[in-house]
Amino acid sequence: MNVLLIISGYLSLLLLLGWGSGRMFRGTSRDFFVASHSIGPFLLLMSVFGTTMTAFALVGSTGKSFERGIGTYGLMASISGLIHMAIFFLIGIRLWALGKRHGYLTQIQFFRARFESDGLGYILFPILVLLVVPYLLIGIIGAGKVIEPVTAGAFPDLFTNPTIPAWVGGIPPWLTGLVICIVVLTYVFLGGSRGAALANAFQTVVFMAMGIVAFYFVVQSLGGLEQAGKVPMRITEDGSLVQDYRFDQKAGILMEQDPPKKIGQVLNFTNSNLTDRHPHLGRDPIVVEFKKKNPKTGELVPFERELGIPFITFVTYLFIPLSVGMFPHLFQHWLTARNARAFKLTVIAHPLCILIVWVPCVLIGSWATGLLPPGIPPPAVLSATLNMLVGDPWLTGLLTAGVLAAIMSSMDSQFLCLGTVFTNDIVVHRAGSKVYSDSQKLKIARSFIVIIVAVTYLLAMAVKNANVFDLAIWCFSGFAALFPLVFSALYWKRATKAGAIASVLTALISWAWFFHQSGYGGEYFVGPGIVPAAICFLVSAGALVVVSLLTSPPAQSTIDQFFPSRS
Amino acid sequence: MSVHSQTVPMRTFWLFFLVLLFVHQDFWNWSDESLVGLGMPIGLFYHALFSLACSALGVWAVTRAWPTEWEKYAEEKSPPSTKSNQIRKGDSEQ
Repeated sequence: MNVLLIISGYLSLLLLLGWGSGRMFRGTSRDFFVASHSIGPFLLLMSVFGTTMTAFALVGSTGKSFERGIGTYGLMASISGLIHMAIFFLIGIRLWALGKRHGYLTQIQFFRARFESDGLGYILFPILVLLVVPYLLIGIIGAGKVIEPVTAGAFPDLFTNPTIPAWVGGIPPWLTGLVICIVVLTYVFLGGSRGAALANAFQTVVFMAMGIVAFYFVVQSLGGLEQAGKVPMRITEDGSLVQDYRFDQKAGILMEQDPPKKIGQVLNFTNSNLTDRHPHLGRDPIVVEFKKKNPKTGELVPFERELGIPFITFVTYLFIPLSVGMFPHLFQHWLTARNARAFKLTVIAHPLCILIVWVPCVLIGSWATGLLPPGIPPPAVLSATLNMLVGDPWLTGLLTAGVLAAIMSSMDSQFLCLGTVFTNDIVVHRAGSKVYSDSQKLKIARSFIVIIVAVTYLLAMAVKNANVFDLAIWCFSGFAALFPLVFSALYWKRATKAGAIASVLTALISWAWFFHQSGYGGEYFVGPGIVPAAICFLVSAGALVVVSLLTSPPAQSTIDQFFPSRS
Repeated sequence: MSVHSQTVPMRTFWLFFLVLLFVHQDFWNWSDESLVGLGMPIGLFYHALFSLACSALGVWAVTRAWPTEWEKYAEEKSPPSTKSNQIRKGDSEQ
């Protein structure tokens, strides 16, 4: 119950912050959409970082490390540090400058002008919505997965149908999702872009601080860093996967298991070099078989899992972080910057913030392989580990609030962005800028946000067992496939309207094909382990180049506007 | 002077970027599970250091290759003819 009190307190604090930022709201649509270009360096860093790091960063990274090991950090985090930094520097500043100079509020306005095409906006709008929605889904699903285990037993008579039997009485995912949607909706309604930026900054500080605190207590419980490094599951001489330790929750100490507990088996075990190795601390791909209990029948069901990461997968994953260049909500955050200098801190500190958040999560995920049953849903690994190792309800409550902070700090920007895009790029664009008053524009944006929240919530309930990490990767892959569009818009004068449309359609078709092949959201690789995003990116870039070269170049006035020169 | 005139620092930035991209593919540590700094396995410790290197490149970029011209461009008043964000159907798709 204490956990619930802390979480409720935290959500109330957010509502208070929303009320406060509502008082700073200037009442104009420009203030609602881009905070009147008034955001300074620290708020920009926190809001950009908070937006890019969602359930994916905390819940997803821990779960993925639990599945594949420490290679998860190089796979997504360190490469993101490099690519995001470069994108903020090479693309973010230019987009901000062009947006500020020409008054763009959305990405689509920029693309319409750069590619001299009204139709491009109508093609892009549904695609952007289609890709942002899964991003929102992972937030709602992630929150549900986190809250249920840490509140297990709170209402045993009320919530009798848990995800797994041990979590009976915990707050069910549908209720958690509903509550966080309402909280986010409230502060976005009240404060718009500034409210989202302030809430993001606050929540980013909270989740970074709580991440460090969680890590400290987990390390303490495991007997220090050196000892924790010995905890992950181990391969024995006969290819069994064993857990050498267990955590005695009553005594609060780590105990050696003698004999070790067998939890799985390496398939086709012939390589004696694997003996005594901890597969989650390296990256060699190994296929293993585990068993998990069917929650309904109690029967043990075998399932296979690939540990480690194939090298080709690791290399081609570099295409996925390119997605930030096309995130519409990030574009909107860039436009909130007071001046170009506000970007400096973000360029420098973003890789460090990634380091601070991801390293502890990845370590916790790999250590948890030696303590938790292998069949536990990956998104629940973080909270189940905290519950087991930290135990103290107040601390668990604070740490859970940190996870919620990470989740909500992304959802707010995405909700706001979809409202902004719909209002400006569809409604106002079609009717003309003088048809609607400022207050009518605000009403339209807020109404669309409510519709999107409702649709997203219902979708999240329909796919509540989806893997947060894999769903996020699909979302990022779609945006990464669109990256050639923004890069060529800024760096290639010869890129044409037809080339841009060809690129967008090719990206959409190739992404949809692979998404379908994956069974709509599962982990999927092409051939020896190539990430679909790499192929989608390459065909999209190829279509852009070929079609642009085959069609007439843009008008000189357009080139002058987007590639300015002065003598 | 063009807003694209910072050719040398930008080329250097791209060079550093490509070097880091290669350094990221640490196949030389792939199977190594040994625990090193702060009890971290080497595959993770290496990439933590890599993140610091990315930040260092960020410091270099904002101090040596900062796009001052774009900054000035943003602050200048936009001539009326460049307000093409108002492109409407039919304006350009003749």
